[in-house]
Amino acid sequence: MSLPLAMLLAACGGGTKSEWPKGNVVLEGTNNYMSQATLLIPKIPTASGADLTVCWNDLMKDLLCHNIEAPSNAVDNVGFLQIPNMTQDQVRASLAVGQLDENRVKIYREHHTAAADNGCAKLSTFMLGTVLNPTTDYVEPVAGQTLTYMLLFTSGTTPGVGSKAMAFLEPMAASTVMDVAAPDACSNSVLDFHATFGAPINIPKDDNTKWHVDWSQIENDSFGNPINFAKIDMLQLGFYQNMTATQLEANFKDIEQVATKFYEVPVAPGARDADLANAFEKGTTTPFPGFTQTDGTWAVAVRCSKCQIPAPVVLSVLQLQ
Amino acid sequence: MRFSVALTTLAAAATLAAPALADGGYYGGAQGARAAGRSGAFVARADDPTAVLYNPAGLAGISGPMILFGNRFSYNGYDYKRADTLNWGDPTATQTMAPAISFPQVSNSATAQPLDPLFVYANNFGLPNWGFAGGVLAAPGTSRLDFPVGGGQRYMMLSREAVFLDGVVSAAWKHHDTFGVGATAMWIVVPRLDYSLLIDGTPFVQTANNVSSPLDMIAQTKGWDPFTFNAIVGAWYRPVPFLQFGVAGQVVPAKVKTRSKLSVTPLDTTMGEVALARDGFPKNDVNVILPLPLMARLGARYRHLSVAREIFDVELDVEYETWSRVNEFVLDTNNLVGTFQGAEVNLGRIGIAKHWQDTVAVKLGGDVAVTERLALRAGGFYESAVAPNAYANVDFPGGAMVGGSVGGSLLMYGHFEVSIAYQLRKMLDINLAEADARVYQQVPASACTPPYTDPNFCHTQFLGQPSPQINAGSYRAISHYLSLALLVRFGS
Repeated sequence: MSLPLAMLLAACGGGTKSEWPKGNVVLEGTNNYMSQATLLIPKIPTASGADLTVCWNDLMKDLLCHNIEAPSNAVDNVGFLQIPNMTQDQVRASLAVGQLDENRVKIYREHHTAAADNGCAKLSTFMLGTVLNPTTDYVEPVAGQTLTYMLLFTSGTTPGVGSKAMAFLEPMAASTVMDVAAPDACSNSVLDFHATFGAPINIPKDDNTKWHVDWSQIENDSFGNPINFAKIDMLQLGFYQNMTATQLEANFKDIEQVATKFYEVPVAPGARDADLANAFEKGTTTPFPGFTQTDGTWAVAVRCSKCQIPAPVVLSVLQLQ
Repeated sequence: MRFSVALTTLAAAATLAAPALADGGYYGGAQGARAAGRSGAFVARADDPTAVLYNPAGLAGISGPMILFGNRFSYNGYDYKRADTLNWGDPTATQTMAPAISFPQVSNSATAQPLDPLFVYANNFGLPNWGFAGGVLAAPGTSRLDFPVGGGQRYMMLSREAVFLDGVVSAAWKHHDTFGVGATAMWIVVPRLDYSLLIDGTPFVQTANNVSSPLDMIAQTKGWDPFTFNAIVGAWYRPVPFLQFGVAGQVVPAKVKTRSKLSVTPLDTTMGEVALARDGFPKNDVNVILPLPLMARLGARYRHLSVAREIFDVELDVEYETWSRVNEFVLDTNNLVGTFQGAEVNLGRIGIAKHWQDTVAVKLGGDVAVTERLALRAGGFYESAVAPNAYANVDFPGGAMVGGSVGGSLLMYGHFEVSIAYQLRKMLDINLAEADARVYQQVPASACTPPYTDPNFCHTQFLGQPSPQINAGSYRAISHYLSLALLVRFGS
């Protein structure tokens, strides 16, 4: 199942330092970037207790305004959540900073999409052990009751990873709406995200024996959530030709797409360091040639592919010396 | 975010077994064919190498070198039928109504246990008032219990396997035939201590999956412990030739602390893995801590003598075991963090409530020398319950026990004594109503936290308790033991 409590921007948990730092390019908290995110989640009034037809086939762009297309960025899962005792604003605010606690969710069911769906599924096909029963699980709150209903459209079945779109559902006895179309996250400006870079980190341009990057001293991610080092699995290095750090900040949501060159180093679970000398260009066997280009900005990022937060855990601009 | 999935568990629960020769709790039955034939009423007699366990002072009576080989074969039946209940996890259930459900009876499928060996060498090394011994033996008990994953017991336990070996060295001294004292030092090795149960990984509020959960997970610990020290001291006193008293005790307040590995695996394999880490590093080492009881036994033996030959004897023993030391099984994860589907739960130190109580056992047994070469024996016992009914569990038969035994020994070729014994041990049936049950489902990621009274997070049917109780039902346990032993006496 994918427990998308998927919250878009959820954090990755806590860890502590041990025998690190080991590297000679030691990132500190002041080198990491800071994030600010706001979610404006569309609300969709529908009939109460109804077996709604949920469709996602018209989704074009995701929260980051990237195209939704198979196979890498398709909607593979749709999650239904009932959250009692939290208003929509509270849910929205918690999601934005990756702090929505699953312990607040009462009902979670999901639908793994398939070609036979033709982009739509009935609520009654959503399941997690048992199927969703709309007549009892999706009803208008009574007076004084606070119930928030959500749909999450995600890519991949790893929980919490890859949210593409989301919506609040509002069951109303007076409504006759039986069909729900996933609102396009980009055109609805669901996600407002701003990044602020920290201080650049110095790195020797030519001495490849001193490219050992170490992030052990950073305790929190860009949202201030504790870092779970066990979940970090990749160090990435990007070169952005003819771009300044300020321009990169402004294009942060496209930070992979706008890279001129993009290199990766796999990271073992729990490790807090990696050597750029071991990097390869993404998707190829071409090794990182060194900082041969200087007409732009270099940045290094620590990623967690299984974290619910899509943004890098750590990102810092490199200052070549 | 803490999706807590649960990893709880259990492991702690882990369990079993143990060392010296107590009879209840972790243990079951008597070790050694001659003692077993008397239902364990042997503390005053203790006249073979198994004295290292029953009463080391008895070794002072040996007259030369001897070796004892033995084994016990056992059949351990354990049946459980969970009480009918309401299925609060059913999709049609509300906070106030749920459909009823019944459960079929489940049984231990690992009933046969072929090994419970012992080997002891004893000698007085030419010192007429002394005796010494050393050996290796298995603590008598049920080493393995297996129940079905889909059975009604599954939130209590799925399976456990425990292998306990005791290395012993003993010394004893006597003053004429009037009294003797002795002591045994014991090195307890636990080559294997495995335990598994099902936990509910659900983090959702107002939820109770007391019958099954889509987030059911198998939590398992596998571990071992290379060394735990224990000791037994004993004495006997024979004021007149026909009357003998014995007293022995296990006097070290020891605990077995295993080095174990914890794993948590969703029953639905499509859900992915539960990753365990400590300080951000993948780790799964945990410690299972099991307190061992202190024990005292007192015996009085009447010897019917014809000149110097003992025609028959009758012995009455009373044993007291401090099982109240086992207040809980502890799984110390040393702050392991479990991560499932992006969410985390700090496992911390997990205690599984047992609330065991001290036990008293009364054992009556005796031998009859039919001829100079053949002896027959028999015995019976009663043992009070180690676990209050409310904490009944399938991991150990905890109710009151009754049983009896018969056996015999045959002396052959002057040096060889072959002994055999059959022992029956039956737990008095336990029938536990759900209202009285106190073993709760393990739901480590639960949104319902102490004091478990907030209806915004806890299921309204289970307010005031951590989760649904899952040990109501009927319990029946019976064991059959067949003990064989060969005692070889060297010299004249």
